[in-house]
Amino acid sequence: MAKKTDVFNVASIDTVIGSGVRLKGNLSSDGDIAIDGALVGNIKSGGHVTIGVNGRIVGHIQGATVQIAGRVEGNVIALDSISLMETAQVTGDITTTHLEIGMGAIFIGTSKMKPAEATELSSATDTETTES
Amino acid sequence: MYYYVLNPAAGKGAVNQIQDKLRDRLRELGIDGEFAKTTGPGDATKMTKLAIEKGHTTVVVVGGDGTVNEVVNGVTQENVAIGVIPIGNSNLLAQRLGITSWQQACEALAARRITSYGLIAAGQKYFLSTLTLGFETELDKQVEAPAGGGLGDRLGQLWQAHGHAQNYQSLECKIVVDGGLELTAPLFSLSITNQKFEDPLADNRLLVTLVDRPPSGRQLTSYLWRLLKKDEVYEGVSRFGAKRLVIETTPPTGLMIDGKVSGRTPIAIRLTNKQIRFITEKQTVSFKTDE
Repeated sequence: MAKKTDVFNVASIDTVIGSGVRLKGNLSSDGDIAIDGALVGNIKSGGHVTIGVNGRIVGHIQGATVQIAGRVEGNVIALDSISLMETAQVTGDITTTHLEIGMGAIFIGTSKMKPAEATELSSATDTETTES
Repeated sequence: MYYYVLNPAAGKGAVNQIQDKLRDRLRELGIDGEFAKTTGPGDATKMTKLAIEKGHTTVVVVGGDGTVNEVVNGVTQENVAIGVIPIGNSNLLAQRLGITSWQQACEALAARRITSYGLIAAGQKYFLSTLTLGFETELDKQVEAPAGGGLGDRLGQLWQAHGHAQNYQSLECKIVVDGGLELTAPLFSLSITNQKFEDPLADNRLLVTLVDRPPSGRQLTSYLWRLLKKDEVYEGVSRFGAKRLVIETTPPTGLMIDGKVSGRTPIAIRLTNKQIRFITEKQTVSFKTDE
């Protein structure tokens, strides 16, 4: 099982939201974002997005790379890669170029594998479905 | 000519012990100037305004964070540079400028490397260095500054802080970030500074560090030790940037701005367009004026 320290490298992250924090609204940053708290809203990052084991997101996520160990209800788009760790629970569609799903992760939705330049938040719909 | 604002009460009178040596060293370096002593709160602001009216473009604080804050609040022109000779109880701003002793400060003043930092408004007050609220503010009010810098004094201070941390009741806070994002959390401690102090090449931006619950066990000791030493505490639970914040707490609580209790929540905090030029050890932009 993933531990908080497996995915939360505070020293190298620009925006860090801890487990006791609840956010409402959209969060965007050119840098990396790590959330271990709760967010109702969308996340848009030019860098790496990490959802920690305590993270609870109701909204869409967009980043260069996205790593999820918590719970997400919304679409996830990453230009480069998406990793669902063993503790991840994602209900929504995934669009990326590289997808990794850990043993035990829950993914309910569709995944679309696309070239990086073709990713758009609104396009996470059709094609193959992966559940594990 | 440099204008020196001395706070004789800073550092429990430390300035009186070094004053002669300091003036000798400044003379050797060719940066001697006019010296003026503060006699009470608010004096440094008035003295800075007067010095600028008289034509001084360099004001040097001989004191701690509180005196620097007063001087910053007196700067009325953008061509004025501020130097800091740190001898206060709290010298966090000097530390952030890379200056850790009065001797090093003299060398830095002579070298005159200048970096501009955006001024931050907290209600009607302005600051550059640090605003804190929650436990960190209470700690500064409750825990006595050590009489000396010895390990025994520090351990005594740590002991007091430990007891205080265990009894401290976290607040509830709501922070509206840049007019849109709404953050709610328990608040153990919160600090705000300019991220440019961390990275001189970065843009001016409020850097918020929120600790939503007290660290436990050994982490608490480490956390308190760093707080008491006035070291940077970066390992906050949450950390994010902003241009504008509105902070509310339940119950309302006092703020500490640059080491002085100053105002209460709710408070609006914003990065202003006003820049303050500091003489710093860390060089990012450098030039000399004809003084």
